[in-house]
Amino acid sequence: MTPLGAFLHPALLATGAAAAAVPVIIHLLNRRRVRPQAWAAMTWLLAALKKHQRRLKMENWLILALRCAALLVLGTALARWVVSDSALSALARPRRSVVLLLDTSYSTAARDGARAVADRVREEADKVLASLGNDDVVAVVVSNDVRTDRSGTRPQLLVPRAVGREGASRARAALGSVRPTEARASWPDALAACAPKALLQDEDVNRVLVWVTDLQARDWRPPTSRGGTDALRDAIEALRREQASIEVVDVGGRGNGVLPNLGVTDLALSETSDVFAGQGFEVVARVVNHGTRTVDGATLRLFVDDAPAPVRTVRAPSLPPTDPTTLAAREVAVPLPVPRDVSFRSSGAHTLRVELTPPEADPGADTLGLDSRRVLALDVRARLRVLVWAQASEKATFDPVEFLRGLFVGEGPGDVFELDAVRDEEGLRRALGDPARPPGFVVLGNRAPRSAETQRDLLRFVREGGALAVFSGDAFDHQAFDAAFTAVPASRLLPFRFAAPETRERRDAPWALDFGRETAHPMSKAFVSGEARFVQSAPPRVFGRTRLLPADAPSTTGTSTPPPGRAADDFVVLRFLEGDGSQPGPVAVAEGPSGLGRVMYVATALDDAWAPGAILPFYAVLLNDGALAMTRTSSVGRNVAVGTALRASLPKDATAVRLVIPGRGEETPTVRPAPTEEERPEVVHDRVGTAGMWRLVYERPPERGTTTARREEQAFGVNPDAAEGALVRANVAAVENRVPGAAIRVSSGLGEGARVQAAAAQSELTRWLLWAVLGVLLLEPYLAMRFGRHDARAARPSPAAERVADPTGGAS
Amino acid sequence: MTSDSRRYLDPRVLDRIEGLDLKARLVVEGYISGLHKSPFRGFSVEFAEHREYVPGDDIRFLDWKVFGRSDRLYIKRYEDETNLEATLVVDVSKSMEYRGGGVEHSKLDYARWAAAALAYLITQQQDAVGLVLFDDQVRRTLPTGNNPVHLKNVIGALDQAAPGPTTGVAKALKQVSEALRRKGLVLLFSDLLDDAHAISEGLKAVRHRGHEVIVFHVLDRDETTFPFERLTRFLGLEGTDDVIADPEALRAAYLAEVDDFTRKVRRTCVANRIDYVPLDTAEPLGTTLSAYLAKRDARRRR
Repeated sequence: MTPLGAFLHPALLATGAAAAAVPVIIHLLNRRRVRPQAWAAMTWLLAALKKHQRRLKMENWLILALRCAALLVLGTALARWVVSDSALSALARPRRSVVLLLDTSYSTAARDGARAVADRVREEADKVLASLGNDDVVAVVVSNDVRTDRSGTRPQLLVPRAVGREGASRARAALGSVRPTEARASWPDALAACAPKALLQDEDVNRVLVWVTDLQARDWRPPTSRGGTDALRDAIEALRREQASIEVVDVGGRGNGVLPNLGVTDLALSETSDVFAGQGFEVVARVVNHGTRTVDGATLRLFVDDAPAPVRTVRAPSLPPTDPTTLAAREVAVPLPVPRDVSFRSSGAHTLRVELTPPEADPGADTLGLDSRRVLALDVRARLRVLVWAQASEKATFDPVEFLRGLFVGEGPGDVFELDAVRDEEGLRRALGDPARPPGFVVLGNRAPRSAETQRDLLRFVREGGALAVFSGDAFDHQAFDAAFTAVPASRLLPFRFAAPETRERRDAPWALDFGRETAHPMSKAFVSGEARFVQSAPPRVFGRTRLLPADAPSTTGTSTPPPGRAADDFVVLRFLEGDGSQPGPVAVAEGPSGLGRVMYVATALDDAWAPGAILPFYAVLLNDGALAMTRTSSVGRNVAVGTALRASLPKDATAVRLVIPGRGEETPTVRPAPTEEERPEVVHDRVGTAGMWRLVYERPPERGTTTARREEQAFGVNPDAAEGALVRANVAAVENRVPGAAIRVSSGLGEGARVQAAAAQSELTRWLLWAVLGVLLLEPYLAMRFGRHDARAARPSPAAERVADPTGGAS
Repeated sequence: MTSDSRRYLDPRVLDRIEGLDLKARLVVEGYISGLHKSPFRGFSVEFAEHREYVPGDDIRFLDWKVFGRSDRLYIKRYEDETNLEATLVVDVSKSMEYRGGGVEHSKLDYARWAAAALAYLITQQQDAVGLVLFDDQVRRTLPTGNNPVHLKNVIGALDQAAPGPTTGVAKALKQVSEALRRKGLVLLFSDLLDDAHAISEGLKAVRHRGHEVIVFHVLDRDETTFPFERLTRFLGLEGTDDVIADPEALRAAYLAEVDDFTRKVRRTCVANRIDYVPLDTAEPLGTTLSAYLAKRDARRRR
């Protein structure tokens, strides 16, 4: 808005300006339509004209100007002229349009003594509403939806645009529902929800956003990366463009700007990604002290599932205070080992929960309880059953089955694998269909099923979620395998096919594997830069191989090209080196999804016939990590923050799906059907507003030979945003200067709305302009009559004429 | 006076009657003849002879000395008493042709009717009447006479008068005053659209020669009310440049000019013992004339 203000309906102003020309046009047209009149008494007419010509011209111009002004002022009034910061604005009564934005993020649950921050939020909001007048407009928005089934990071329009005291009363009634949620506030979203164009109408002037918040410093920090999107600044500037001033009411902590608080920022498995039933493991809790002094003697307690007693109680080390300069909290990692005897007894969905309690001597060190608890959802695995059908190569020095038995079995209670070996194709088929011992990971070594039944069962096994590893070898019937699992797209396992075997003499240089170049496949990292780098120190020497070629681009010489729709690295774990060893060559190991399962192709034998010596460490890593990774249920999305979406894949045969929400009981979620054969149905719950363990429960059909439906569940750990626990208030100057020119003012309380009134600097002049129009409309006929333009004067004769009409008195 | 005859006195009726002499007759016989005596009398005091009284004679002229000596009633007669010479001076300039809205006759028509009526009246009482037609100067002159043939000539001259270019009242009055040898009555019919001072000088000149003067100021209703509304181009009848004016804006000023002019003329008339009779062409002529004549008669009786 310029100092002269703005017009809410500029088009009407233009119309008024155009209309102002109408009297002039009429005047000009009338001049063209002059009525001729023969006249005798020109002497008197000329004398009158000579004496009064100047005055008549002035009167004409004055009346014409008044008529034009009436139309122009009327157009200006209808255009709704709003002025600000000028003397004109003082003319009009300032009608205020207040949007109340209330902080309902979970940091407002912090208690300062007997009162919570949320109480002050309501009090200040109540003061603002009490100050509203009969013509004022109000709308109330909360930063986080306070309805329990909808709470999250999304804002909620608590009270839409309401006018006058009745509207204020409604808003005050709605304040009763304002409570701290368990989500962080997304202020850019909340400010967008307060946009006047969405909440207010054009005539609502003096727009003030009263933003009642605890002024957490984290919310006001600009983005750290240069050139990064500053969503808060953008949102504030959008408000400024809509002529809204911003009054920030700080209801945060004490005078020093910091409310002390302890929090657990993270709880995670320390080393492995897998927790097996009955096996010990270790988790690490990261704790933080948001206060200004060191806290000693805090206690961490670890709970398994819903057990009331902790399985571990650990005294936390000394927790250093927040850095006074950067206001950054310093995390302390606390390892929490869980021995086998107190670990999970069964596989499936389980949770761990850690709770941090302040020292008994200093209970005030923790003012916000929610962030002192953290939940970790785990899929505890049962032992993985490995099914092997393998044949040693002609020149092998050991039996691959025995190699695998030694690799997977032998630690007794600590074993996480079980191994079954079959001798022939019929055995494989029977084992695949055995409900008592369903395999999880099938290894084919130097073998390819030839019967259609076995091929179909193996394909079904993979499609329904099983993992399959295929090694070639001198007896591997690559043509039969490719015919069954590559040639026909509908039954294709991976977009690769095995080439014909090729071997080298051992006096020649072996084919080397490319351990120097990491691909996009996650398993590649283990060999190139991860824990299995020791393989590089004694790389396998390969003298025989069956290269992996693209399934749809047969080639006998060139390197593999990526399958359509995917990058090569999506499937490629390792490649052979080509030429002098500097160029990547054909694919050696490929792995990827196939249906609901996963498949791995290895281009060499599972024994040492084609790769003597150092191939065993390589296979140990490949098979151990591969078996776990290929059979691991995706844990992505199992632990989410409050306010984010909860997503879960369901088995295709899942029924009676229910979501068990802490504090709210069971709800039936919306299940999205699988869009393709290779995907699973999905549950998406987009408003995770309550911290704790959420469970997705469903039933599956009975297994063969039983009649009882299987009940399965998935667990989800939902935790508040750890950063929300930092109750350090932002610097007022930093807030007011956060967006230059945005006119943000920060106060610690409105004081009966006085500041809101002061902010009402914009005034709409419509009422005054309409009075002006009325005045002009009254003045114009008066002046017209006064100047002799009125019709009533036309009939009045001159005194001479009156005497003529009365001849008896006319004679001298 | 009957109601039928009154009906003919309405200017709208007179408009439809052809023949100026008939109109004059109607005006006089229909209204003025109801007066007790003719208001026009000789004003010479020169004694001529005695005449025996007959019933009906004005007893003011009885010679009481003779009655005392002879016990017989004689009436004194003066030399010019029965030889009043009235001259009708009629303005036939272009401006007299103006005819306003609502009437079908011009100011000149109205002046003709008034002049003819008075000529008829004067002739009827055996007095002589003459005629002068003028615009910016005297255009036609008929000497005084009192026979019916002369009256016919006077009315014919009035009827045939063609409008001249401009008004020159003062000049015409001077010419008239110089042309009249004997003292008499001068009746001026004009819209007086001339310089007020010049008119005053002209009237004074006539009076200076010993003539009695009556000014009939003929104006159209439009000229005294200026009723126009829209922007108007006024076309001067007497050759002046056209003027475009907003009548509504100018009305007050115009009427003030009219008022000022008439006040000046009236003041001149009063100062020189001249009768000033405004005539509105929208008013019935008989009513206006009879009202004036009755008033004049009453004044002479005092």
